Amino acid sequence: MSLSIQTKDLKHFITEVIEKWPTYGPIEDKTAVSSRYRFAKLTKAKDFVLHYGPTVIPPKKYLFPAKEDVFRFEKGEILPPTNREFVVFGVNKRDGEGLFYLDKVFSTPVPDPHYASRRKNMRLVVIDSLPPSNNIDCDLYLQIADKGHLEAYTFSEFGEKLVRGNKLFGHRAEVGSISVRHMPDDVVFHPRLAEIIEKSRNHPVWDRLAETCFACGICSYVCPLCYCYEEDDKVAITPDVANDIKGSRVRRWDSCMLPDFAAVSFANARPEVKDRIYNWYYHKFVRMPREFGFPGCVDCGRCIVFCPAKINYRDVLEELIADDRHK
Amino acid sequence: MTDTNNNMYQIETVKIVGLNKTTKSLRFKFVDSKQGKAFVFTPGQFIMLGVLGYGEAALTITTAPAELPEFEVAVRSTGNATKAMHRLTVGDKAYFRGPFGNSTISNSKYGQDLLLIAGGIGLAPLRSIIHTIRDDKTVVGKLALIYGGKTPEDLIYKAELGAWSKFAEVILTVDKADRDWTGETGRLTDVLNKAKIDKDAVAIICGPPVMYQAVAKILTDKGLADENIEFMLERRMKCGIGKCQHCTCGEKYVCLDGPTFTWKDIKDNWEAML
Repeated sequence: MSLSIQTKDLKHFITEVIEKWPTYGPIEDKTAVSSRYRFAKLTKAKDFVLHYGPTVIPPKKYLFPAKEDVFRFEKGEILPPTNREFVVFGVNKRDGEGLFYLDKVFSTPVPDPHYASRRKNMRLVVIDSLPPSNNIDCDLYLQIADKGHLEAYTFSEFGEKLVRGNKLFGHRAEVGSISVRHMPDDVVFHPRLAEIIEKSRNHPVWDRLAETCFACGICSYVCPLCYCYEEDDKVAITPDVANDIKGSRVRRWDSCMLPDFAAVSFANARPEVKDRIYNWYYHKFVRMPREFGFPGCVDCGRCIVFCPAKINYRDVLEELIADDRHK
Repeated sequence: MTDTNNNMYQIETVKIVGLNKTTKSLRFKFVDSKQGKAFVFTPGQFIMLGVLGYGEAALTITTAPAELPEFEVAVRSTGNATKAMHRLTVGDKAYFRGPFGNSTISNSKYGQDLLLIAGGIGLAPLRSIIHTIRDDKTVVGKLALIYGGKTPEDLIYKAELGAWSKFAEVILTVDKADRDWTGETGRLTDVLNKAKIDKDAVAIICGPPVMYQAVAKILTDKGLADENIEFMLERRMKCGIGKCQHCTCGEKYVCLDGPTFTWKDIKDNWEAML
């Protein structure tokens, strides 16, 4: 016997949440150009979409925004940012996994305190037709059990608080039929992928990709597990800018696909597009598995959908795996 | 100390010395003396030094841990942050995070002969080791320094080299000598080739990476083991804690696994040598 909510009551539940906390979730915008779906602040429950397609930007933006102040400074003093509690509501399991792995990246081996303070304030509600698993770190997990119901699983005090004593949640003896989506994991989770990619430095696929790739960096921005960044200072123009400098240290997304990413004063470690593409795959499928034990990919497909050159990492990985088999 | 970004320390400029045309040595003290007393680092480690409004740059501490609570860095004016550091005057405040990275001297085996090879401003990070040995001769066996630059004008810490030769064998070389030059003339690699080096010595090299491959070859030809040849690498780091990805070399991070790497660790790395 577990708690569940009727699908038709979900909008009332969202209204309750919106009233108490700043809440962000998937919405639909039919006029949008790149994707009809995006994560945005939920102001009305009816804006929320239960089943969303690929959003351009994954929910990582709530923990690791495209551009953010690490701290502000004024009159020589450093002013840390103030974070308040907020809710990210209704991400699917795939995006939830992306956040779970991003948490690991920013907490090991050395924790990033700036990310940690944002994460401490984020409450997460995941909604998916698949059951919860241990690569999700959320407060509440709602499993779409059948057309009429969502099964509730709580994983924190906050999650408990949301459902316990809430009239919208009731006990149901019977769990309806659960639709289980097929997870295509044969390529990204190939057991020898790291080794294959490490040995593929001179494979012709990298030359071929370099001919079509625009090196625009979109694949990094849209990826739930790309996290490289640039950090520099932004200064406000004030009457006395020379003596009283006021501004902030800004962290913003970078991309290893951009020309100067690995440049130093005397040289560039990856001057060619080919070097940078190889590094992109190397990071996701060699460096990250060795560093953290998981690849830098949750197979969400955003980088395929939004790549202006139509590069498909699954094709690339399949080719490398196939060629390795034929050796 | 603020906890916004990994031990942010506020420091005050206490001394500025010009080292060559483009490089200055800056000496700092901690604004909060309690922090200065608690701060520890080992030779070879670096800090992210920043001037508010101009960002940060990765710099290796050039003084020995025993010289704390004051410390020095050598700054070559190249970018926004380093240019701002050059504008600092005595009394001006700056901030830093750190220390980051591994230490050079703990990698090398205690008691063995130590050969330091520096090119240009590559002498700066090695100075922390030289000062450490100056104050405690038991750290290594025989100490030698081979230091080269384009011209005598390019060499740094010239005023100190004489004092170092009291406890170390110091060999200086320049590509192009002037009238007053008394050291060797010729490429650093040529001088190294001629030098007598014990095959059990530990070598630490810091300088322009173009010379690294050649230096590694000379030293291995002289019988030094790959794990006893250590190179200091430079990358344009942003975080210092293995996140921002700017310093990766294959599976290694210069900020976490380095900045000092043994030749054994990086000789097959596809992007360590620039």
